[in-house]
Amino acid sequence: MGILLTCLFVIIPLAAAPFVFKRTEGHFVERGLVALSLVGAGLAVWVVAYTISIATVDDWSGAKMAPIVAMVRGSPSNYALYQDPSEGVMTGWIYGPVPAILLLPAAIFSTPTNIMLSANVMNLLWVLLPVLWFHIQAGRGWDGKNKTRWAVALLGGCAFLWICLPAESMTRSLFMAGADGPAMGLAALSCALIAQGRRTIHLILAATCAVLAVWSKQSMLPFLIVAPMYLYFIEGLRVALKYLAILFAAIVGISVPLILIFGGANMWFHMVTLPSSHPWSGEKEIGRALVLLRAFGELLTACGESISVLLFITLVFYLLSDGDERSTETSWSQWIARNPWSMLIAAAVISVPGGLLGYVKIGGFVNNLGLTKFFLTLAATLWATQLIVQPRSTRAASLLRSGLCLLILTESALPVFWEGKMQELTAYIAHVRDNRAEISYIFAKNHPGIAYFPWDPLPSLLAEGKLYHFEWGVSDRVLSGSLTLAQLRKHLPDQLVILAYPTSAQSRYILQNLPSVRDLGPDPQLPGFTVYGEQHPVEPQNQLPPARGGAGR
Amino acid sequence: MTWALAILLGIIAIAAAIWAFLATRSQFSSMLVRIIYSSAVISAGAAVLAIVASVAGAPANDQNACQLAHVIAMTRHQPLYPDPTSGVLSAWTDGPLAAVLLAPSAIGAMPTTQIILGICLNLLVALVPTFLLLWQLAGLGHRAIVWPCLAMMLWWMTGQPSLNSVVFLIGADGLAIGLIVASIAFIMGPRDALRITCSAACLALACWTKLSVFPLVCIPLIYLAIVEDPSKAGLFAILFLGLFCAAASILIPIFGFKNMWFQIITLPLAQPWTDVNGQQVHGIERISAFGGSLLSFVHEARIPLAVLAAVCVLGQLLAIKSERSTLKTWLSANAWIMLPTSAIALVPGSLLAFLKMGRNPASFGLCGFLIAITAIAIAIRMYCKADIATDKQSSQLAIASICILLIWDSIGVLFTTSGVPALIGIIQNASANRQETALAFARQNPGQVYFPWNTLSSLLAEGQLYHSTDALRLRSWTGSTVVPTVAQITDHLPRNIRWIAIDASHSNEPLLRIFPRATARIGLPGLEGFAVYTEPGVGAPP
Repeated sequence: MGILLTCLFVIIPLAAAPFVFKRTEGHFVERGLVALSLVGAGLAVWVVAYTISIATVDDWSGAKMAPIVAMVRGSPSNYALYQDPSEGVMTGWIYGPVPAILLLPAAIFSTPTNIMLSANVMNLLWVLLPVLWFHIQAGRGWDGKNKTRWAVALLGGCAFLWICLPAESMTRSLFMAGADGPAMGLAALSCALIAQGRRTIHLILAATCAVLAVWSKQSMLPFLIVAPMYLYFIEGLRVALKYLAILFAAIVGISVPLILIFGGANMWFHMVTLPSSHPWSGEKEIGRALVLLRAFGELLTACGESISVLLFITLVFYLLSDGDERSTETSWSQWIARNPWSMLIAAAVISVPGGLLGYVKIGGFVNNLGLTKFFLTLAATLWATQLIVQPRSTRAASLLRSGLCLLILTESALPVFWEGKMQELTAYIAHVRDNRAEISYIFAKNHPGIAYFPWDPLPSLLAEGKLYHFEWGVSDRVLSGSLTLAQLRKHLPDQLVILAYPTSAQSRYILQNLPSVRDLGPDPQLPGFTVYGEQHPVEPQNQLPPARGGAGR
Repeated sequence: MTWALAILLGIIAIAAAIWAFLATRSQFSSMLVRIIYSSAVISAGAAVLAIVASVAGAPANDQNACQLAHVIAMTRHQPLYPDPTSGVLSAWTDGPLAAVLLAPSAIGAMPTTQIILGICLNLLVALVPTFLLLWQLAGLGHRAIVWPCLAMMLWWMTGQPSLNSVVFLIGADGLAIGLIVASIAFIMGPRDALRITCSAACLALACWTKLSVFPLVCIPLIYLAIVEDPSKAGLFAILFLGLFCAAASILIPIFGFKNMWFQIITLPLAQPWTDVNGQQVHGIERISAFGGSLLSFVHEARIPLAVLAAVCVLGQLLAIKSERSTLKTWLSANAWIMLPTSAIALVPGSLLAFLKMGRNPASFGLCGFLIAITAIAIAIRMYCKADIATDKQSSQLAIASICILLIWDSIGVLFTTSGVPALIGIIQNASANRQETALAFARQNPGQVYFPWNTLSSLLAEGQLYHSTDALRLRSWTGSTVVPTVAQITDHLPRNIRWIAIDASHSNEPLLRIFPRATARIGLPGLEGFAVYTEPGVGAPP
């Protein structure tokens, strides 16, 4: 496997490098960097394959997919995505229904690893395809009148990928199936459509994508005002109002069917009531103001690289542009019109409050900070692509092209020069099926109806057709004060004998509700799990202990 | 108090930022560059805070205590290089000069004070020559870039393990790098006889500080032979040899040739090669292990290397013009070239040290430091050349790029809870460390407790230097020629040993094999944070 990957992603790009060097114009150093960055692109694919594979090890991967797959794979009947708040299964799905629809094709597979892998790949494609299309537009100079410079567009896209790959805030969103990826991709698509043109068809498609982005993740709601603002600045009030009218129609046209299909009350409970009932993490200790300040610091840190790249491009733009070029843009509106990526800066700023709110709540994780980083990074790589394609000075274009190449090479060198890292990445890819989900799937298939995996609802669903409570879904209900023991009992295996928690489980809340179980020690059939249980079926206790904070969403 | 000082530092940094913004009006035409430059001043303030926190946190590192114990013992008339067959096992494998330099730290009464004094001395001798070299390199009228460059160097020193070990780990690296840089700095300007003498003296002393510096002797020799004439290179060689021998004539009688040879040469040479899993490798496996260590070196030095590459690319693409010149005149004007060549000359020794001395990134410290200075030196030269050529765009871009890197480095410290508050916490709790706990307990129970990771505390409490874990590891890993005898080990342990107190976070298995009867792990009041091993049935002190 290692040899194959080395050939595909290192040797072949290296072999192609001399041809690229020969065909590239510019300074010797610049041509060398462009040629070498092919290896960086190859390594990006290798690292992406690893990141997608390793995501299957994360409990949240399967937990997020379980309610989606249950829509079509339940037995004897399928499960609704948004379960009844008082009687239904407690899942971890507190997002909009759009990602569930977009990731649903993964349900055609029958094993947990295949489902998670295909969902992760789809999730990535939902983000990367719009990003790539955006770069292609930038590579042809936005208006479509020039010939597309594919190489520059791909260079920008590769730089985007390499800025995202080392950041956990982005890997969680891009490479792990969930609501963030589709939300980001749809938002980027909406901006790209407006950048491409302002005809009615563009406005309709852009508004549709924006509404779908909001129906993917609630924190995208403020994003709706980005396009009207941009249109107001560059086209005037009339076009902005026209867009608003289209947007309103899109909201109605998309929301009504979704509400009818998924059930308004249940959807409201999961998308609004549950998230709003989550307390803030650390609120009691330091107060809300400090929690927010701390989260803002984390956001700035997460976005540090993107901000630095943007600053550098700004510097190159202002210092190395020709004076004549600069003077042709007399007003802000003209400048914004010529630089449609600036929409993304507005989107980044506007997504800050939602991202911070998602991050500070108990259960919130760094992926919530990823929205801002995503928009800033995209803005940076698009601007660089634009400046390379429409050079304001030869020096600026050379510098930016080399800068992007250097960034790709520096980031891609990290795993290469980390002794043993590439072997580790390859081992994960080769043994992608060696994960807890597969172990619990085989166990549940061999012993249906007796084992419960609170952190792994997907294997039980695939093996038995039953969707059981997800650990964090139960925790969500306790935080919101809406959990009843009757509901807890209702969706546990009929003859519960074994309760298996991953050894490194974030929490064991359900275990606290089953006081009669005891630690049975390691089970050779369930490696990586701590097994609890007793010979006769276990019953929940009568009082509920309080839930504690954690992270994952 | 500490918070007050931090706030004061913050106010000073903000005031300095405002001053920098106003003062650079004539220097930088771009408002954006002025904003970035003044923001970098705040980042520099954060770098200073990070350095102070690193100094304050140094006593928490047990390795510092163990290394300094040898130096303090030396000031108390115990040999720095003990007898290999009967003396205490020593982990001091460097030259004697570093120990002499660190000797003033013995004026402290407590381990925390002594370690902090030692680290401050280390920091000063490493940083002062570096600063002077950069200052000299920038030349009059172009020194605006020196400050952000130096601040960046400080960030690297706090963040990169190998660079961190040069200044924040008690040992010979700090002094060695200071002397190497000083030696280069002396022949960067006019190369008269006095400067050549000083350069040769620094290099001779550097060799007596750390033996692996020896390959660097050829760098100034070749440089002087090309740039000046063979006679000056000859003068350097004679001076170097003379001064090296003069130092030897003083140091060898004091420290003892045989013991010194054993500690500096025999012991490191006898260490086995290890692979990434810590397993010993032999024969053909050594090639793969060597390749692995090369990867580890590049990985460790990746940030300075990336900056070096970026600076070189920037210089090339901005096409900062300089007059065409011959190799001789180019070398004469760019004496900084001795920095990267010195780094390259040190690579083989660093890789060997890495493979033989427990794969510690500290082995790459000297090389990494020189690469970092090179990156900064090239950035400064590029800025100066652009400034001289009145290519204001390029010079502003160069300085602003450095400032952006500096800002990027500092964002994490300035804006997160693991940043400024954590640093303040480290400074406030500088004296709350295992060395102090061990000292208090050892004073109450003299001769009864053995702290293999905290030998400095035992030395201060009981006046006796015991074997340190590092020394035991060094001697036990080697071949049969240098394995200590049981009598030698027991002679330098507490007389009435009852407890072995270790930090549970360390790997202690090899150490505990020496005490096969100490199988019971207990907790002792007064030794919180330690894992205490004893014979079953031996309880707490009355």
